Amino acid sequence: MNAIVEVHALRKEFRRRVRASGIRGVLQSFASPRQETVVALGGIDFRMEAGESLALIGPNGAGKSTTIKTLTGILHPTSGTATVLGMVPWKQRTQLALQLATVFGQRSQLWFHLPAGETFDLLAHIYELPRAEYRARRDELIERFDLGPLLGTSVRKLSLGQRMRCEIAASLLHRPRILFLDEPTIGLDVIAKQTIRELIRELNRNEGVSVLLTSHDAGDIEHLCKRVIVINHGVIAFDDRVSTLRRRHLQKKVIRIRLNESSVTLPALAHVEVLSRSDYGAKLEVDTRERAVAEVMAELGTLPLADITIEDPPMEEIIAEIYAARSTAARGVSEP
Amino acid sequence: MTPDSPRTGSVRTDARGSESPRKQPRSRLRVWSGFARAYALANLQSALEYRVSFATQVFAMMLNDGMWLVFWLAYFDKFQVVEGWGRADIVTLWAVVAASFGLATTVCGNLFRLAGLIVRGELDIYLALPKPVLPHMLMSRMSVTAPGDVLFGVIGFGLLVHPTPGQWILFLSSILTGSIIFVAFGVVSQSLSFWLGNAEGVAEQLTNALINFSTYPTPIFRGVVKLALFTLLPAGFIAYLPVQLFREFTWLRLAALWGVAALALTLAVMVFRAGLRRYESGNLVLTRQ
Repeated sequence: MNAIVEVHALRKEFRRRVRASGIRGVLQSFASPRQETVVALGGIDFRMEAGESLALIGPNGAGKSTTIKTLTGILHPTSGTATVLGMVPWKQRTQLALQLATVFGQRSQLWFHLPAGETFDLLAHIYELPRAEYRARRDELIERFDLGPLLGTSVRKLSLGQRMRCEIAASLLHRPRILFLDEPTIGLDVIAKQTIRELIRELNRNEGVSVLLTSHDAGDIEHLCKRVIVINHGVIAFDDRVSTLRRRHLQKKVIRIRLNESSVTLPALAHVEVLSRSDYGAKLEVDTRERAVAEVMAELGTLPLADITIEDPPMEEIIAEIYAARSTAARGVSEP
Repeated sequence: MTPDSPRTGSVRTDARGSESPRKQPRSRLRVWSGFARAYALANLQSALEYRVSFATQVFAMMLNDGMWLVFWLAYFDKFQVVEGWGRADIVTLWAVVAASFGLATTVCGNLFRLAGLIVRGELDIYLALPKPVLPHMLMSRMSVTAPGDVLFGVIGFGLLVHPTPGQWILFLSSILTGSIIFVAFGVVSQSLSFWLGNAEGVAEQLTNALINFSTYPTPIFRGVVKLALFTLLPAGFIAYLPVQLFREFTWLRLAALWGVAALALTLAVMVFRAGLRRYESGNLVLTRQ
């Protein structure tokens, strides 16, 4: 196999000032500041093959963004090694940047006051793209991402979903071999999330662009990636196929319903647990190993519904399950 | 090759990942001038989104510079000389400082925002792109109102000093060295954020001190202050030395001035690079303005 990303014992520490609360704490911290070391990455190892779509998931502060920022050369690691396309990111940043693209969901590379098309022109200069090549690629991306009606509008007037489509298109002008996406669907509504996921999947399939994506939305990995790395407190807790993660840990879905009438009796649903109940709503958990969500939805359809949503269990719950499974396995080994 | 060095002998990669040599290698100068032009255009368009604000800023800047010059001209109506400096010397001093500062902030509009960019983790955008971070970050914002300072300096010098062609060349040289020193000082003071955390306030105070000391005739300062003006706070090299060159030209002084500017810029690049290794990024929700 052809590894395009190789990470070995990658560690990143930050120094953080520690301060007690209150005025006394402020004065003490000013007189004799104390610092502590925060381990963002605790020596992680993984490989990524060419053409792969890999998800890096975990809760806030797990080390996902730090991993991406180290692999793109934005951050220098404390220790360890990493190569991306055979280059050390923090030593060969500018050469590497020509062959990869990074999209930050929370950080825009588009100019806020200008139409996205103007930023596209600027990026063509930054990547030193020959004019004809740039125009052909830009037009192709405009068509594929359906950006025609948006290009003349100032970025500040675009919706978050429209802006993210422009962001991803902008990052593809120079035909990168790897696309790093840091929380690309954060804050997006369901439809916008779906559109972005479709576009990323197409890129991976049609252009062979390798995708490394961070998210704390389990839906992103299910729709986009074949392999997933779960990271928490800077340590890899799980590295396997998404199907394995789903089989072992994504076995539940949460359904929230809102009713038009009060005090409606819920039907008895097999393999469904009622997590909470109010006069006009309920929160239910479906064991997907035993029952398909569609079946439960069909039964709920007989109720006077005002709204219904289906959610994955929160990432924290999945990670807690992974850790619980690991410690059970470890006990099994140590306690014959 | 170092992380921020420009790429040479570049190759393009097609969609299938194979590499092919670039057809027509373009000179670095052409690439950077195209890049600077594109940024200048984007900045101008961005500024013109708010036309009234733009016009007000230009007017206020000219007014501010003009008021100080009027103050000095009124002073010389009463007193003919200050520590051996006459009216033409003060006008030259003001013209050089205003034009140098104007040029520095026109081309490097992000200069005095650097500390904030570091603290808020806004260097990420530049670090993710294939250009050396420092020049890219500095040039990516150009002040479209700062040319008012340059114009003020050039017009003031032309109208009030009546320079010879040789003095115009010396004036141009002084603007260039002055702006290089302003940029170098700005980079060093703003880069303190890499070590101190939020150094925006400190950097602002240092910048204000540099501008203030640059606009007074250096002979009025003595002892430690004078020493500081030629070391830590290099105001003496921005305006005093150029004025001395106008008063008494020597090639050695001119070479010394350019040497100091080159040294200051080298030091600034070294400090920035050392700081960049400590850069911690951030997770604020941000857009480019």
